[in-house]
Amino acid sequence: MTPQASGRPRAFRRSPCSFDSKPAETELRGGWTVVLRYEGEDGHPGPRLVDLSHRRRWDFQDSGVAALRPMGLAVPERFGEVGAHGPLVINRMNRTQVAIWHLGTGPLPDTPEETGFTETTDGHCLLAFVGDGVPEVLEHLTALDLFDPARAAPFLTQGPVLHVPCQVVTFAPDLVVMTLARGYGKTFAEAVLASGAIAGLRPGGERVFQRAFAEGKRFS
Amino acid sequence: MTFRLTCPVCGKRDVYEFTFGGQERGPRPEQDGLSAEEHFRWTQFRLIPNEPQEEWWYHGQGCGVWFRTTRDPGTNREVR
Repeated sequence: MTPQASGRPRAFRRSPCSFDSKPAETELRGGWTVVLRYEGEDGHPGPRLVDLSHRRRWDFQDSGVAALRPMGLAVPERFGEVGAHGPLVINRMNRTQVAIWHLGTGPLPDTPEETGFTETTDGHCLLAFVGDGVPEVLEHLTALDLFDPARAAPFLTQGPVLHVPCQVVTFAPDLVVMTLARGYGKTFAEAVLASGAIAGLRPGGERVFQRAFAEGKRFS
Repeated sequence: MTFRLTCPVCGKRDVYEFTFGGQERGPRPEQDGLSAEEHFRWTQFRLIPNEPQEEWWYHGQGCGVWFRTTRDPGTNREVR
């Protein structure tokens, strides 16, 4: 039976990770059940772990990527630089490759017809760390310097977090977003929550991320 | 034992993020007139010098690029 056959839309896509906390508010979006808020979440200053795996993402590769404008976005000049353009961010990964993430609430573009594009939404897990105490959580998980004051935020770091290869974008000390291969998602989230419990890490709904992203913390 | 390598994309990182890709062997020899021993030496034979050598490394835990660097196996330090 297709998801629509019963007459009522149902979720037919599954996030690679799930949290034990009880959702207080959810929304069906693009076949995903999106948790907007968890019970008992209000008033907690952070840190929070937010599952954003439903957010659309693309990979774009071309030997001359620096001179192109994938989805109309300017490609950052240097490796590790991140461009923020409304709801989209574009990460310069290396000489030939960029990643594009739709993180904001603005219009959602379709996947372009150009051959260099691959939609990676269902292949990866996307997690955000939001709120006070994020650095204290992350310094237990990785030896990478995700808060290097010499780099202008937002910036991209590629490397292991809990020994899992990740793409990490630091927007601000209290807003960090990372992707990793989908297969690691469940155990990765469990390990992060267990490790971060000492710093007060709890699951958060999408709304807390949206608020932080919209506040322009990426430009601080 | 650990040391750091310089990825051309990510900068200095712990060697455990990388996979060793072997010594730089130069171009593949011309096939015409190539003896079995010469072919063997190019494909299989490796020196273990106690001096800097050019090597291939793969940044598998990071940006995923292959690159060459010069490293001294005697000290495990990169040589620039």
